[in-house]
Amino acid sequence: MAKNNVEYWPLSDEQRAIVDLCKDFATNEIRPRGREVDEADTVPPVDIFRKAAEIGITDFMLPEEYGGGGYTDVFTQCLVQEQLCWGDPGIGNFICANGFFADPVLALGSELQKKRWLSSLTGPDALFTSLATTEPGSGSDSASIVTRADKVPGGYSINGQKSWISNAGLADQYVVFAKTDPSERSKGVTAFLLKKGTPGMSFGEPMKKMGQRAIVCREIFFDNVFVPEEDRLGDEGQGFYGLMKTFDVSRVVLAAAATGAARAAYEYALEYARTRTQFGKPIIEHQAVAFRLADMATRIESSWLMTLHAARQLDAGEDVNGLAAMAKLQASETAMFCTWAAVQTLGGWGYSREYPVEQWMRDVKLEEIEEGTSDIMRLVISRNL
Amino acid sequence: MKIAVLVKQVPDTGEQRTLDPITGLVDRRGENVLDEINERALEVALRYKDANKGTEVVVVSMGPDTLTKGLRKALSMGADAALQVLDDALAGADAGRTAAVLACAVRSLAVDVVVAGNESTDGRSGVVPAMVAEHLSLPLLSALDAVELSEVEVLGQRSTATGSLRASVPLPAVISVTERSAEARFPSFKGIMTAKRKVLTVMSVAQLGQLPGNTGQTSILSTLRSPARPAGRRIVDEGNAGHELAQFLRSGSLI
Repeated sequence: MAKNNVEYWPLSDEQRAIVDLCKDFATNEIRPRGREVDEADTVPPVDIFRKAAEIGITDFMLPEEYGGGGYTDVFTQCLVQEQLCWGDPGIGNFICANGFFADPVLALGSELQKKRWLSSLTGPDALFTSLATTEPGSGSDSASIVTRADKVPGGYSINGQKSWISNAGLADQYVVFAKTDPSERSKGVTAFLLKKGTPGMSFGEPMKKMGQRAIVCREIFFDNVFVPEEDRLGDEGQGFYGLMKTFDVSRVVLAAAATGAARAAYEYALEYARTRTQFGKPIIEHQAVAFRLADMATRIESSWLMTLHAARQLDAGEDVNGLAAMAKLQASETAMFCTWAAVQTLGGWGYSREYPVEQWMRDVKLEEIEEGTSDIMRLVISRNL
Repeated sequence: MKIAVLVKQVPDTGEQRTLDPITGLVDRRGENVLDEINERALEVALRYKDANKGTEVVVVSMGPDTLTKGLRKALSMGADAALQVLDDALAGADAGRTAAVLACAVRSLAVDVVVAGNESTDGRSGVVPAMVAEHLSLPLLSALDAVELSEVEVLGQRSTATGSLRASVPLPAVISVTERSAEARFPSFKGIMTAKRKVLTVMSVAQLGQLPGNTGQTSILSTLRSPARPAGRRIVDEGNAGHELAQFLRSGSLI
C-alpha cells in the first residue's frame, strides 16, 4: 500500500478531513455492527443510517441547493465509499444508497422534481429510497422489462412486478422503470417517481440473500398504480438513457466499495499472517502465504488506481462507459479474490463465523453481480474497444 | 459565555509510539492527530453551546504548523474559532513552558471557562491544567467525570479511591475532564465545509507578550527502557476464585 504522505491524487484539506471522518465512522460505528447485522439476516440497520445522516454521510453527494453536502463529484464519493465499505460492505452501501436514487432524478428530472424528491433526502431525517429496474424475467437485459405504464387521463397506470429491489418496503420514495411503449426495447422505457403507500403498490417478503444483508431486498407488485403525469421523470422513452447514465456513476462508486472491502480483507489477513505461528514461525514467513498477500496487495493497488482514474475522467465530463466497466470489473473481482484469499489465509478461523472474513467473502460476491455482472462488464468493455 | 478548550496533537494511539532514546522525547514524526481526551473536552464545551445560544467556543493550542489539521477538525466539530501559538522557540517545550504559553494565550481571549483534558495520551504529565489555572489565578476542578456548566458556576464530579466527590466553583474557572466525561461527536460534512471559513489565528510568543513564571526548562539527564511487565497472577478456581478475584481487585482499588 502506498504510504500516507504520497497520495494517489492530491486531495484537498477538506477531502482529507472527509476521509478521516469516514474512517472513524467505519471503525467505530460500522465495523463493530457487521456480524450482528449479518446474523439478523433481514433487519436493515436503520439506527446506523440515522447516525450517518446526522453527520451528513447520507446526503453529502447531493447538490447543496437541495440541502445536500454538495460533494457531487464522483471522486469524493469514491473516497467515502471505500472507507465505509472497509467497515462493512453491506452497511457501507446501505448508508449511501440514496445516491443511487438521486442519479436518475438528477439526470432526467425537472427543477421542480429535483427540489421535491431530493430535498427530502437531506438532513438528519432523510428518507429512504429505492430504484426499481430488475424483474423476474429481466436482469442484465434491462431493456427487456415488461412492467407497463399505460397512458390514462391525467397520468399513467403501472402494472407489473419488480424483483431484487434494494430497500423496497423500507423506502419512502421510488424510481420505477416501466414500458410506455411495449413494442420498443430501450426506447420504450420511461422512469416514474412514486411514493410508498400509493394505492395498488405492494411488497413481497424479504428475499433470502447470501450477503450484504444490511440491504433488504423485496419484490414490488404494481396493480393499476396511478402515477400523475407530473411524476414522470424525463420524457417518455428517456428512461433507459437515464438508467445508463446512472450506471456509469454507480459502477465507479461500486468499484470503490469493492476496493474498500478488498482492503479490509487484506489488512485482516496480513495482521493474522504476522501473528499466527505454524512450523515455528509466523505464517507470513511461509512463501505460499506471503505470495498470496503480495497478490492481494497488488490487485488492490491496481483496482484503486483504476477506480480513481475512472472517477476523475467522469468528473471531467469524459465518456467513461468502458472505463467505468473496467474499474468495476477489476475491483469486484479483486474483492472476491481478496476475501477468498483472506479466508484461505485464516484457514479454519477464516471459515468460522467468529471472524468477519467469511462474511465479507459472501458480501462482495454481490459486487460481481449488481449494476451489471462481470459478464456484462466484459460486454460493455468490448463494445467500447 | 466564552469557553476556551485546550487541545494538542499527539501521535496516533492506534500506531506504535516510541521515545527518542537520545532526547527522551516522544517521536512525533508519524501521523499526529487531535488527542482523544481533548475531543472529549471539546464535546463538554459544545454540549453547552448546543443548549445555550450565543456561546462561543475557542480552541487554544501550541504546536508546529502540522497542528492546523487538528485545529480544523475541532472547528469542523463545532468550535467557533481557533488560536494557535506557533513559534520555533517553543520546540521541545516542557509542561511548565507550555502552560505559561497557553495561559498567556487564554488570557488574551478573556474567557469564562477553560476546559482541558486531564492528561494527554503522549506526555501524560497531567499538570498543565493546574499550571494554567495558577498562572491565571483561577480555581481548578480537575479530573472530572461529569460536568454541569451554568452561567455562574461549574459543578463537577470526580472519582476518588472510595467513591465520588461533587464540587462546584464560581466562574471564571479552569476544569479538566476524564475520558468518562463525554463521548466526542464526529465532525460533520457541513462542519468540514464551514470549518475553512472560521477564523484560525496564529500568534508567536512575542505577540503574546511577557510569559508568566520563570523560563526554566526541564533537563533530561538519562533515559531507560521500562522493564518488561511481570507475569500476571493466575487464580485457579478451587471454589473461592470469585472471592480471591474480588479481594485482588479491591487491593488495587479497582473496585
